[in-house]
Amino acid sequence: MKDYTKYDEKIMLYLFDELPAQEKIEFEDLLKKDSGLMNYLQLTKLLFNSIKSARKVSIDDVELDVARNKLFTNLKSESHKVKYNISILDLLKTFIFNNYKLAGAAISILSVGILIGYYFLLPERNISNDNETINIDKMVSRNSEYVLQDVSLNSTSSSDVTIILSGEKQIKLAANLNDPMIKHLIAKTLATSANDGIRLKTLNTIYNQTIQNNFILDRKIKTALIKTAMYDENPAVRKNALQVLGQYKYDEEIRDACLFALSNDKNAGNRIIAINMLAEITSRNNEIDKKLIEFLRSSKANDENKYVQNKSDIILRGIYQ
Amino acid sequence: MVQEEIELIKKAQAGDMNAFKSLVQKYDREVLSIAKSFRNDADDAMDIYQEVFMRVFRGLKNFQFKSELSTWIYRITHNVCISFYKLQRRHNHESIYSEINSETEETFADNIPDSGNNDNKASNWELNNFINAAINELPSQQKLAFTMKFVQEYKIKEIAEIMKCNEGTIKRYLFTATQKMRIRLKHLMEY
Repeated sequence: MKDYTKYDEKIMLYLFDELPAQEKIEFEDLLKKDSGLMNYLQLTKLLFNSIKSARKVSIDDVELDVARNKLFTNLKSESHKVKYNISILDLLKTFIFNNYKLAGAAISILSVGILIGYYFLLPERNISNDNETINIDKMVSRNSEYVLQDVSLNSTSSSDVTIILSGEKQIKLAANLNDPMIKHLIAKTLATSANDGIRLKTLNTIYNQTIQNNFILDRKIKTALIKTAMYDENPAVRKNALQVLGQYKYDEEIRDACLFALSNDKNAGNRIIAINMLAEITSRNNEIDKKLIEFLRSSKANDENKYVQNKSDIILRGIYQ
Repeated sequence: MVQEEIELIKKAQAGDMNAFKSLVQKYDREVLSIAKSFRNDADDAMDIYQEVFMRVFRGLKNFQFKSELSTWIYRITHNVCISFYKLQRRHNHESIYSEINSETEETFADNIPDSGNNDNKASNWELNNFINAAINELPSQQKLAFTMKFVQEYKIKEIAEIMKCNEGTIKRYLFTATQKMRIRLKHLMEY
């Protein structure tokens, strides 16, 4: 029997329709003259057809939709990471460079106003300690070397606290949580303290006083809480920050903090807290926005955690009732 | 590249998520098809799909319009498939026909159950599984070129562009892979 294997490559290219035109014509002439070669080609064609049908791929629309939904959810958190990494400084830069004249004028007026207020209106607050007068405001300011070592409530029924600051020396003083400088100290502690315990204790103190309506939440604290809930390295601290945030009136920033936690927090417990927070917030407030609904739909379909999936479903059903 | 697509790409590069989604929807069916034909496993194909488009998302800002977007995306698909293949091999995934030993040249015919009929062929299901097992044993580059040719029916020139090698190399991959399949399935080819 004749050996046709020397034609294997040509047959392959012929069946792929990849032979140059002239070669194709010549090969077809050869096929007409040699029935054995034609038979060999037909067997190869049978092999190729078997391979094609074995490996046939069908993509159904449902499968594609599932893949797309999962992808778009992942892309959303990918783009949120970029969004939330923009620092306050960058935001300020954007504002200034987009409308620098207006921004420049505003900053100038603000600066003058602050200076006037600082020098003429704000009395220096001093305490006496060991026959020495210490300026509180300077101690709790941003550039101060003093850090919060401890905070404890004087009583559970008021927001009076005793704080201990450590720095060049240890200072113990009585204050009120609602004092602007103490709030500044709280925000600074949450952002910069290396001590997990003090961050936790600060959050617990705020939380306890908030639920008793003894602590007035404000923008500075809220910003600090959002950053802590999103970026603190300690999962327990992130959890407590989320819990305090849950006491605020629902808005876009809190929504985004919860969604960030749901998308990025590796601690399952924190993600469960975030979805529970959304459930509680959405049941208390009627301000349900489209972004939240879309996220909940995606969570219901794609989240790894069954509790989060089920809770998303429950929240959605509550919205549409 | 049509102007409409160029505009869409530029919008996506500027951060327009809707523009990016439109681009995904234009090419993702083909990406999933390549992934499925390469891996022959729905879950693996899904993982490849996700990875491909995450890379497209991250890398789109560096796309310089030197090639068609489709070529660029399918090239990424190729790279992800190969990476996936290497990872899977490292974890020693076995095919469902692990008893087929290539060193002994055991073939399809040796695995046909004895029904007493010399002309008996196995069912289509068994045949397909045998073919798929043989394809899965191909080296990664040959397998990718082979599936892109047989399943997606790309031209050799297109495969060469995606895999970033010359046409002669692709022809060699295809020829070597086809010969291996011929040996595996020789008892199908009756003379």
